[in-house]
Amino acid sequence: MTLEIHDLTAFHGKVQALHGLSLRVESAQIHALLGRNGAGKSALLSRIIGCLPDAQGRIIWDGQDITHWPTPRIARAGIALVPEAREVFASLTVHENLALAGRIGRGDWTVSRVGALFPNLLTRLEAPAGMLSGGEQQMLAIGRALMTSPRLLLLDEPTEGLAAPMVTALQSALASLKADGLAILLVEQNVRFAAALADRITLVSRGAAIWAGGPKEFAHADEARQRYLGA
Amino acid sequence: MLQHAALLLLISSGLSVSFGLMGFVNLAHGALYMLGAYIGIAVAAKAGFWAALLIAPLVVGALGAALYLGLLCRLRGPMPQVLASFGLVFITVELVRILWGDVALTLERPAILAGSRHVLGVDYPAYRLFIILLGLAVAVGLWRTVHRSSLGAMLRAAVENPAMARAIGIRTGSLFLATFALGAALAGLGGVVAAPILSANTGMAISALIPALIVTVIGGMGSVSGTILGALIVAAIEVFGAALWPDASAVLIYAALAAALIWRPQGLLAVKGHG
Repeated sequence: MTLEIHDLTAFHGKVQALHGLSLRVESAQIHALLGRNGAGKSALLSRIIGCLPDAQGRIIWDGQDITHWPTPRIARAGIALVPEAREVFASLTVHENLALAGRIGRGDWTVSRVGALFPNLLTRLEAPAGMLSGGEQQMLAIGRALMTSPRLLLLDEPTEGLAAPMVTALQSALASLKADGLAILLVEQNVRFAAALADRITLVSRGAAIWAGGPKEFAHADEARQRYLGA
Repeated sequence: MLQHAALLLLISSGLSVSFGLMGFVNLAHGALYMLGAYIGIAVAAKAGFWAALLIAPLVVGALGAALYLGLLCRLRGPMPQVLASFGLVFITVELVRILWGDVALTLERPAILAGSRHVLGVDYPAYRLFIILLGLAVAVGLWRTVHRSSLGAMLRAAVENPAMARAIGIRTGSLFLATFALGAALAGLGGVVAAPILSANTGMAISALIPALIVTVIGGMGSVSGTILGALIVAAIEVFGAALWPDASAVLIYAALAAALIWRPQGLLAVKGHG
């Protein structure tokens, strides 16, 4: 399955967040979006899942134009979001968070399969999600997204605030999800983490894609890196 | 006292759903309760008490759904909700005056619930016993739905973070509509059940609203067990207050409300995340 984005615009209130962005994400591929804060990366993820209405341009998923679909329908079509602020349901238990997302899943992801991926969660199943540490909440947010049986995972800065061992665990988890055939669109500030995982990298600035290439080209694209990432 | 608490519980449980769980400041709840009584009386005249007990809540639930779809779901924030739902109180009261007139109507209790039953060594009026059992059944059913079913988990998630709930496929619009309709139906049920003891009149839209609001606020927003506790406390204050200190009985529940708000402003058994 493929996600194709053509000339997308979107507004955050009155501020234009996307200015004609185009992009393509394939199955079994990790596509990293890099750029400075406010470049429009998170806005793009919000727009894909249907949270920023009144867009121009087109979002094609699996051959269907989903640009104006309501969010629950987009989620049911196999697109899942792990938002930057994690946004686990704090008053629900860990198990309830997972089971709720599993309602629209096809059963290929179960609580125990998420537990195999993130063993920390298994010991906290009956705890309110609001009581988890930041790292555990991140695992839960990813687990919750997986429970919906996605074909495309939208990840917004998953390494933010994670301790180094957690980052390593996350890296291998994402690699194994990719090996399962999942398409992953990864927004990151942690350039090293993203570059190590990505099959394709797009630099975003002022709401548009301004550089795209593979990780090898990215390693040599000193000028673009310097200019758009300051690194 | 127990039957008074059970009646309060029936009325407040609906408010605990729309106001407590959904956070919708629904001052029209008393008006829906009043409609339940009047519609119940009208249905009972044609088809008997038991049909009224079933049909009136369904009709009031459908009316609640229509109001929600047509007007209330467009309102954001407490102030517009207060103004619009309070306006609905006046409209409903006038409509009831036009349709049924301004006289109090009564509903005959069914034959099987007339007289009294021998319970635990005392004779207790059968209809009051019925109210207590029904109140308990509604409370248990509601508690199980909110805390032990996936529907309840969906609702709690959707109230806490509607955008994220939508992103995991929950259709929050239909969920809130169904929840509001359930709250309205419970108000309607309270109205039918109250009609044989209190008789239906246009004042009940307001007179039922205030104790129900107090029960919900004292007990804790969105907490079913809090609503049960709140109903018991308010009923005890009203009943014992009237007997022991009749001069002050009208202000006692407000004093209790003030005390509860100072001591535990979030409610006695508040749900996390409702603050």
